[in-house]
Amino acid sequence: VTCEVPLVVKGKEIPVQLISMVKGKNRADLRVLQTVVLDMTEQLQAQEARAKTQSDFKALVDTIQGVVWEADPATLELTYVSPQADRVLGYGQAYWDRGMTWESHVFRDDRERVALAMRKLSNDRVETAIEYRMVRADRSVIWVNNRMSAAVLGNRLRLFGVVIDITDRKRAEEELRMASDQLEKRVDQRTSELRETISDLEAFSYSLSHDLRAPLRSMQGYAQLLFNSLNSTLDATARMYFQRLISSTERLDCLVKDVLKFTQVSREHLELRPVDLERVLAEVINNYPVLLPPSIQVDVKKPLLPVRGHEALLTQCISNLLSNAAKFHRAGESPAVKISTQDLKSNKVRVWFEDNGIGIAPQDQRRIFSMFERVYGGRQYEGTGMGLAIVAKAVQRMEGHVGVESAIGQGSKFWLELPAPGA
Amino acid sequence: MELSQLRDELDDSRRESATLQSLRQHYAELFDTAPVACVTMDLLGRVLECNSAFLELVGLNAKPAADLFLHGYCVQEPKAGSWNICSEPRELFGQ
Repeated sequence: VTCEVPLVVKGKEIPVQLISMVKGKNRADLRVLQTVVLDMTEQLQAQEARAKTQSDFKALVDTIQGVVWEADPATLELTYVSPQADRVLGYGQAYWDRGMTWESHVFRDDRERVALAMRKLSNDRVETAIEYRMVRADRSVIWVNNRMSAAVLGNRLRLFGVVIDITDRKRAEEELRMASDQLEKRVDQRTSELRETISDLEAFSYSLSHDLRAPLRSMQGYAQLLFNSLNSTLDATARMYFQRLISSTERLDCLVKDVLKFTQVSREHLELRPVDLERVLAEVINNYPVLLPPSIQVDVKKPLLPVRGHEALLTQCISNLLSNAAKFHRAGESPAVKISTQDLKSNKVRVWFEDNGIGIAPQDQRRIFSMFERVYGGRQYEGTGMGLAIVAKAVQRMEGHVGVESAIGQGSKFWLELPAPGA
Repeated sequence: MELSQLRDELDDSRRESATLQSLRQHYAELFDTAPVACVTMDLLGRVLECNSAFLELVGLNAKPAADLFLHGYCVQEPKAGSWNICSEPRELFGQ
C-alpha cells in the first residue's frame, strides 16, 4: 500500500511516497508495518521541468507563423494541428480534433501530388518540401509551402509538417512572370523592328555606295581624259589642280569600295565551316603581290590550328591585317609579321599577327576597329579608316572576337579569336 | 551415547545460532546502508526501527531515546484515496 504526503522537516516540506508492507496473513496478526519512505523531491522537480518544457514548446509552436501538424502515417489522420490553423485556414482547434485528414483540405487538382509526397515520406523518411494549394473554410484557395518530415516517437512512426502561407509570394511571382513575358514580347517586337531598320539602312547604304561608283568613275575617267588632252597647254597650277582632282576621285572610289565591302561582310549569308588556316594564308600571300618580299616578310609558325569560320571573310581579315602590317612600318625598317595560333582550351583558337610596325597608343587601340577611324592620317599612311572595321565586322559575323596588344614604337600584336572546328 | 548425541546437537545449535547471528548482522547492515529510507512502525505509528537514510531525511543524527512518530512530521492529510498509514494505522487495520 502506498500514499503520498509531504513531511515537514525543520520547516521545509519534503514530498515523500510511503510504501508499506504488513507482516502476517490475518489482520489480527498485524503488529508492525514495514515502510519504505521515498524522497520524491527530484522526481517532482523533473515532472515540473517536463511540464514547463511542454508548455514552452507549445508556446513556441503557437508563435510560429505557420501551421504545425502531426499525422498518423497509416491513416494520414491528424493527431495535432497548431492553433495557427485558425488564422491560415479558418478552421479552429475544435474542428481538427474531430479526426480530420490534411489531404482532404488540399485543392482537388493538387491532392494526388500531396498524397504521393506523404506516402513517399512515410516510406523514405526523408525530409521534403512541397508547394500546393489548400481550400480555406471560406472556400477561398491559398498557396502553401509544406516542409514535411517523419520520425519515430515512442516506437511509432509519425509524420510532421510546417505549413506556411505563400499566397502573396506566388501572386508576386505570377505578376513578375507576366511582366517578364510582356517585356520579352516588347523586346522581341523592338528587336524585330530594329533588325528591319538596320536591314533597310544596309540596303540603302549598299545601294547608295553602288550607285555612287558609276558617276564617280565617270568623273575620274573624264578628268583623266581632259588632263591627257590638255596637258601640254596647262600651266603648273592647272596641272596640280587636275592631279588633285584625279587623286581625290581615286580616294573617294577606294572609300566607296571599302564601304561596299563592309556592307557586303555585314549582309552576306554565312555558313561557318572548318577552315584550313595554313592553306588560306598561303593563298592570300600568293594572290597579293604587296604581301610578298620585299614588301613584307611573313613568318608563319606552323602548324597553324584550323578554325571554324567563313573562308571568304577570313581571307578578307588576313589580307587587311597583312596590308596594315606592310603599310604601317617604321622608317628605315623592313616590315615583318609573324603569324601563329594558340589553343585557348575553351573550344577557341586565337590567331596572332605580330608585326614590327609603328605601334598603337593604348588610348587608340579601341577606336581603330570602328568605321572611318584613322590613328595615322596624312600622305605617309593613306587609307580610308575602314580596314580594321571590316576585320571586326567579319570576325563578329564568324562568332569571334578581335583585339590588339601594342605600344608606340614597339610593333603590334593583333589577334582574332575564333571557334575551334569542333565547337 | 546420549551424551555424545546431546553434545552434537548442542554444537549444531551453536552453529545455527552463529549463522543466524551472522545473517541478522548482515541484514541489519543492509537495512542501515540501504539508499532509501526504511522504517518499522507499530500500530500506533511509533517508529520501532529506522535506517540512516530515514534519519538523514528527517534531519536527525541518531534515533532519539524518546518515542518517534512518523505522523509527527505530517502537517496535512495524505491525498484523498490514499491509505493513511501515517496517523491512523490501527484504525485502518480495524484493530
